[in-house]
Amino acid sequence: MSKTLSVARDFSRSPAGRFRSDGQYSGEEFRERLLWPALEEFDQLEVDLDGVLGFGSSFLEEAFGGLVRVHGISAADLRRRLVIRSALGIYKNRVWKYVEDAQRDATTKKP
Amino acid sequence: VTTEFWNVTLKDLLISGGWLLTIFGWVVSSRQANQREIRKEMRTEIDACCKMAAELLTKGRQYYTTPPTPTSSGTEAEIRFDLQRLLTRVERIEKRCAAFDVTNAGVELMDSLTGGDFESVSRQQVPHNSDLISKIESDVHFLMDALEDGFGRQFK
Repeated sequence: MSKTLSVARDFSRSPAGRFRSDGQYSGEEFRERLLWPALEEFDQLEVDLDGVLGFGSSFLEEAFGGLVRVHGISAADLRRRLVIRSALGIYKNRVWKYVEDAQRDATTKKP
Repeated sequence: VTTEFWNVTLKDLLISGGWLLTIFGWVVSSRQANQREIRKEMRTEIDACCKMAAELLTKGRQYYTTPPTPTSSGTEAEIRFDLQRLLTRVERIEKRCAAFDVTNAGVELMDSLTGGDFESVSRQQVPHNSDLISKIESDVHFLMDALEDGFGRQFK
């Protein structure tokens, strides 16, 4: 089963901040409320980043890097199950960079 | 002149040669005019991108050197919006002209400007000569240089 999540349609056209404590529509909120539950429920997930009035790195890093850091899903697993759609290639590349960085950090920290 | 060569007189050859020369001249001047137009368009686009990057630097400086407020000041949203416009244009330039290698510079600027504790309540006010401001400044320079270098390579 697959699902498509649109940040602009399902969350906010102006997502901002890293943590819930930073205010509404943060990366943490997106991950906890939409992204992670969708990944738990569906085998394949497509996330559409278009239609948003700009992303900060802090939002994208917390939302997608946090999947590895907080929920323990591996970058390889995410590569298989997650599709990122964005007219701006830079955002797509950044998402995968944050996921890989979080994976590398997690691997380095393991005893 | 009445010399014949494969039933074609020298006069015929001279007439058609004139036409060919005219067509050749038109093709060459048309290509040069097109190149000039593309060069002008790219110059305008690069200047606009450099201006946007400089404005982002000003906004970034203003944002990070003032203390955080409990409610959004609006500067964060402006930075996100302007950055997205800049990155879109930068990516378009790279897609259009292979000589440009600018998206890495754009990405570096995105991370220094909106990474870390951007839009965070725990954000600390930093001085103008802080490492963060210096990093944003050098990333803006890096992007401007990458744009100018690409222009130089494309239209040398």
